[in-house]
Amino acid sequence: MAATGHLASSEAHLFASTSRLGAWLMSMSRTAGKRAHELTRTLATQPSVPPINRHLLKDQINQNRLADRYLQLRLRLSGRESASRLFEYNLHDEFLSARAERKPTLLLFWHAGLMRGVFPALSVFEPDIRLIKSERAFKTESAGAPAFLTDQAESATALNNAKLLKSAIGHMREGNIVANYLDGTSGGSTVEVSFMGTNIALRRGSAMLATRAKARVFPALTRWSTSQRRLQLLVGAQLDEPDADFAAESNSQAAEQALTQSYVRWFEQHLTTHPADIISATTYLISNPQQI
Amino acid sequence: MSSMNTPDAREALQDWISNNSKNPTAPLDFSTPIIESGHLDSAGVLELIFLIEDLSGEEIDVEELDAETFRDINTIYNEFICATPAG
Repeated sequence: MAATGHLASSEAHLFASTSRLGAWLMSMSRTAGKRAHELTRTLATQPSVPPINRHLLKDQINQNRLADRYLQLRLRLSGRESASRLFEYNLHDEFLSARAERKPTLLLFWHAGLMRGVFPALSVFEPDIRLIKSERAFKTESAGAPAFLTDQAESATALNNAKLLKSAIGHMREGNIVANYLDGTSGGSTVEVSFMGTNIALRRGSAMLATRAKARVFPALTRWSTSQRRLQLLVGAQLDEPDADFAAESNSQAAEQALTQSYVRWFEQHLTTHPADIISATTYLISNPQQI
Repeated sequence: MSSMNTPDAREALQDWISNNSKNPTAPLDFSTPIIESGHLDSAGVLELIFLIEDLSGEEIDVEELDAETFRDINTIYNEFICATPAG
């Protein structure tokens, strides 16, 4: 478990510390191929993995295999290019402004597009971004994040998860970014939102994190740009700040629902122009809306 | 919020847990294991940590938190509230 985090962490540091694409591509290519092999073995040997995790696993295997092939090709063609040429950024001005002012920032993601590109893309200008993930997710999903809050957890108890979330809040309060996957498998509580014409259950907690950290919240995802042959990082306009007294359960539920729904609306809008960014885990989620 | 070094703090903790319990039919007294009994999930525990900080007037270092000190209302009170110098 810890090795996964350390591997991803060193990968990010390598990327952040080198201006040469070649070294990073070589590392990424090696880890992507190894990761695809590990995940394939996990899928074959763990029949008890929940269905949504099996779909995420298959997506991760496919993406790592693609990354392996693509990165090796890029390595041969462009090992001397600047690392930044691998990425294409589409960042809303409000996000750039928040980062320029070092405001606490919460990025909401979805398992869509090209998941593996998220953290290398962000680490170009934000080396200390952290991701909220559970240990359960570690066992079934690929890494790719420079730092994992869950590395600190000995087990996924409510107390340990709460400690991790408090660390995440502290990290944001120091002016950093924390990323959270709304359709991830971490956490035990859900909030129901409308997505693609059906009601689905997603992880709750983002509104609480944002409120406690006084963070600005932005919708984001990464995707593969076929035309540009680059990894695209999209960050949209700031979502409305949660307005809640989290001491009251009914208020907090409404705030979680509102924030999550606003991300989903942004994501749906994106999918109308980029339907290929739906991965099989999302398709499964739509067909089995309460299965996260 | 000012620190609260009286037994009222334990009642405040009990009231808050009771009002936010995920398992409201389970018994809850000062020695009930609050996580094992299913009263709080991780989000609830996090909110409780912030409540304790409000009651004690001190920020809690997450490294100080373990299953023993966070077991029940009595252990929380003794570790984080009673032990805090009155301010």
